[in-house]
Amino acid sequence: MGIEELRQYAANILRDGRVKLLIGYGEGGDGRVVPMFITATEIERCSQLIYDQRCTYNLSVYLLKAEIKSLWSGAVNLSGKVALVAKVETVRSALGLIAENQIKKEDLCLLGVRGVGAVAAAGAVGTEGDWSSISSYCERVFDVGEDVGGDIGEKNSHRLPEKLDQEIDALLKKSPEERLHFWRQHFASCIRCYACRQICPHCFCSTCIVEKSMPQWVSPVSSESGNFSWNIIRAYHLVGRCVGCGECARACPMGLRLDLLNRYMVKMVQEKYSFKAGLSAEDKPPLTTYHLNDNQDFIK
Amino acid sequence: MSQKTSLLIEEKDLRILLMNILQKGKQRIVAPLRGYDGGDGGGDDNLKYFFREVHSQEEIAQLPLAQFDKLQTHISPKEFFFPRYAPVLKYQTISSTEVKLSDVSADAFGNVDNAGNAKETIILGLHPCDAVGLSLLDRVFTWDYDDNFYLKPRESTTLLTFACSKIGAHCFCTGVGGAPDEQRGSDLLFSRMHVGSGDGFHISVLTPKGERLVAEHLSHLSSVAVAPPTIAPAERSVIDLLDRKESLKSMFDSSLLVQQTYSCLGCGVCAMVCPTCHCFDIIDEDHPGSIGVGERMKIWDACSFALFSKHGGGHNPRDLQCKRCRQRYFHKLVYYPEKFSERSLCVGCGRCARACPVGLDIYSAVTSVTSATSAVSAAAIEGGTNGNR
Repeated sequence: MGIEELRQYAANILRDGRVKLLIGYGEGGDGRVVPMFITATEIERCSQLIYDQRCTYNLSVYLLKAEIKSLWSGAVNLSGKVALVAKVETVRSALGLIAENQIKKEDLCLLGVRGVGAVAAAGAVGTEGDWSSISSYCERVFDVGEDVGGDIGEKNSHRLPEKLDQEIDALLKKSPEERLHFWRQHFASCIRCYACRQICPHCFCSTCIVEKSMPQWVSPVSSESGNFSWNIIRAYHLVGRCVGCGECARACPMGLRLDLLNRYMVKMVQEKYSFKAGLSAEDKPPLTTYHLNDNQDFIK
Repeated sequence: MSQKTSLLIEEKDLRILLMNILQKGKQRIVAPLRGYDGGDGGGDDNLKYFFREVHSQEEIAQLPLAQFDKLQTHISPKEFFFPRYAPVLKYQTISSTEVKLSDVSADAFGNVDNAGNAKETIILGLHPCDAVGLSLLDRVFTWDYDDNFYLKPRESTTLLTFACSKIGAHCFCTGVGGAPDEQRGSDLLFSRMHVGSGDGFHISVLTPKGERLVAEHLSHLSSVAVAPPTIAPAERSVIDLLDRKESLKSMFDSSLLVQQTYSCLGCGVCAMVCPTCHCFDIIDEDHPGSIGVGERMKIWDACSFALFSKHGGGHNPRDLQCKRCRQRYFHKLVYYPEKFSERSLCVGCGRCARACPVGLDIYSAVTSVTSATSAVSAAAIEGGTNGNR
């Protein structure tokens, strides 16, 4: 029983003090899943940890949140560790954060959850094959996953990379005018709630470019031009860093297909730099580094 | 002219009526329309409806009138009075010491035309919570200054509200002083019932605006002595948040409240979909390609944004996300009611909970925090006493 094993393990590492905080998934009532934050004072809550098709959150985003950080890395004791119930994209984001010096490898305890059966197909936007590269960074990898049934898997399946690639191919076959129309339609509806930015583990700037007002680089007005600037700039800033978890597209209240934009960038980086973000904690994103042997033949 | 207070209309006649209104072109019709689904087939159908202007007879033919009593729109109708961005004035820099200012009237959403006139509008298919929300917003926009950017379109809009036949997931209007068939704020209230040979609606005529619309378009219907159908009791028992106000106030510095909002990531979805969130920012937007010439814009803001309360000098009194969440909950349930001697600013529509990307829900957060301090009222609720609302 995978999930029981995970619950036991989580309780153990909190009890013996190896980690100060565990972040996982729990029931939120009305069929919702909510992030769970468990400290050593309430170990019994580990029995409420879950992992099923509904657990789409990329929990790495909480590693840098101030209130959460104070639970494991307070000034009193800097030796605290945080444990994360981590599906494949969560692990990859965490590795990206280590590579970009946002968190120390030794502060992190990754409890990998490798979904089984229907859960694997639904939950994973990254490919399950990534585990071979990343499992060594995990404290343990649990084969878990409860099939809660319904058509959740079906609903999530449009986020699988193959599906996205098909849509991208279809978009690329269109004329530039048609593509512009497609994105116009999307960006026109953006209400600038910044859910895409806030849910993204890699949007960790303490002051976002859109919040800089002297001068105002990016218009905060949710008009078409302002929205174009914002969404394109955010996509650019994620080049070579986005792990493709698809959370921005899921969080978007207006249904903007940010996953397509980001997936295309992921493909470009793979093609031009043979780089895939978040497969190692050491390799820096290609656009943040310079090597003499970088591919240059696309610079004209 | 005898006043009509109660009418019955068949669904098909309502559709014909809407078609006639559209054809006459005097009023624009706004109704829940399916939004663009992003080409991915869409998720939950309920979340994909938005209030939009109806432009064609085909769109009216397809309006899911039979669903209006339960269909939930993703964003509230506040955007027709308080759009997500709107110019408030034009500026033109003449020299380093002189700026020429001029009035603007039109907004980008067609609520107000170039001559500064708000369009006669009928909003159809909103729920009682939304209509109440607008009447609560009226208090804000007329409080110490009459904000004509809001008031003009508001005055020229007639609200055709549809009573809810059931309380949906995350709905809790009965916990904040409302009801699925509440009349406040609406001009006409439609309640679904069997009429003549098929489906139809009972119409309660509630305001002079509603009477005018009836006189203009429904003069052929005669008033009936039929009461609107009673709405079935809520499927889930809802705790009365109004009773929790004092208890919530006592929790201002409580770590329990902090814990409840650990998951908040600081986006502004909750505020943007909310029918009563009304905070805005003011920014100067130069016209493309020009410097010093442009429009001063009012844009939606949210207290959940870190920048919202950050001072010019860099200090931020709400330096942590938990303090921003607390501000939102307290504004809804404490500050607004106390300032305006009103019920809560939250109308219990549940949109914030449905839209929150991490499943945070004001109702659950506030009830669980205050349950810890109000064991007595919690016991009363468990005993089945659910207040008298």
